[in-house]
Amino acid sequence: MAVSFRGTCATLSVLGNDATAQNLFVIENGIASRVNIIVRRLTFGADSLVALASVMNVLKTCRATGVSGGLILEKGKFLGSQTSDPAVVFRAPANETAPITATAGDTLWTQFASRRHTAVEQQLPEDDGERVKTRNLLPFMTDGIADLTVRPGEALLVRVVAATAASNAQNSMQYALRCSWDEDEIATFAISGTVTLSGSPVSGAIVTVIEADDISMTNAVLRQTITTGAGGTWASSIRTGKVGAAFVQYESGGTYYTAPGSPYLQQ
Amino acid sequence: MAGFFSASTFREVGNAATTQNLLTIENIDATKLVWIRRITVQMDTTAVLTAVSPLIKTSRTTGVPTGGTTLSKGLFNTANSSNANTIVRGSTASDGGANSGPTATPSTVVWEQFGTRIHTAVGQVLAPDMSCLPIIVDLQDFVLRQNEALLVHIVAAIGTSNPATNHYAVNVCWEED
Repeated sequence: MAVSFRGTCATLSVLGNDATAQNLFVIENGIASRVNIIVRRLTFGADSLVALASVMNVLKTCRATGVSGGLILEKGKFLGSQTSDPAVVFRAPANETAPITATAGDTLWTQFASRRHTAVEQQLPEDDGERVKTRNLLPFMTDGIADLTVRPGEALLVRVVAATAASNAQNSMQYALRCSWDEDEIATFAISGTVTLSGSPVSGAIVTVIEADDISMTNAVLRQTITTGAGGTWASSIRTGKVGAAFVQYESGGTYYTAPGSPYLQQ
Repeated sequence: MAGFFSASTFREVGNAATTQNLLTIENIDATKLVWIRRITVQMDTTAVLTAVSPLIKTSRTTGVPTGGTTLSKGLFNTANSSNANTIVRGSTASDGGANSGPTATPSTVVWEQFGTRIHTAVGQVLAPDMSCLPIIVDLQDFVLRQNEALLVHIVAAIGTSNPATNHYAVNVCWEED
């Protein structure tokens, strides 16, 4: 494994939404990513302000598709010199103004939240130091035993499932989720070129790089758009086993140019 | 097919009886092994219980479980697929839904854990992870061979210790050969 980044992420305090279902947190690895996300730790805290005598709600971790919305969260670094892949994105809802939309897949892990039967005495959080019994959203195991992997184009979702809307009341339930992860570099091969016009290098040309599964352009995705510099050069990378294609567009003095690049770039 | 997988029951309610099967995991493959890496149970009790808490026992079984709800299996890595001969069963097909199995006959008890209870109905209620196997199984192989299974089940002193106001969630994580 070639770990290129090790990071942490934490949500803002997320209020309940007065509903029986609520998406709380998403770990998303964009299709153009150059890393696999290895989730090391995923836990939460919950504070319930109002007494609840019925069953507490549960949080479920599952794979997800069709993710959108929410706030994009900042990524903390274990090592300041490392850079996270920009396609690795963490989302949390900004309460009612920006909920997360996602379609939940198979459940990986379930965890009861918290409640207070009556509003008396101290409300205790659980600390991550109590690793075995804290509110794990993934199974607690010795690091490195089982790598929960989120590949490019995949996402992981944490959502609330409440028995009644009252058990996820906005004026009562608050959640805070946190995650730590590694980014494992995916093997790639380099592609590069120089844009010229009448034999001279062109700066300001736009090179569009496409990546696909095969030469039929199955599952084609936009890998990158690059604006050439003074020497007209550009460079990108394609995942090993995939196929790349590049083409160029350029405008100068109202004249538009285009040029095919080298299609079916393979290692 | 090798890899790590996990499954969760839906929220299961107590059945007001002294025994209740919560989850089974079985391996019916002739050649492939299953290693259990973690099983936890969490519990919420909304009614006062001043008698002893129910025990949550993990047992090997006599024969292979039947019935219940076959649970979906989560993939730790989408490059892997779980063996269809690894089957996880819960007691209900929806959160808080009616119980219908699974049917299994416990044999040797391998671990046990008291559940939780509220002696009086006041204050905060926590539902921490409770281990249904020693946590060392993440490193020390706990093996299910062909036609072997594990059962997580309730053993209550009396039926009133396991009322419908008890709620359980069981999680299991395993590795396949």
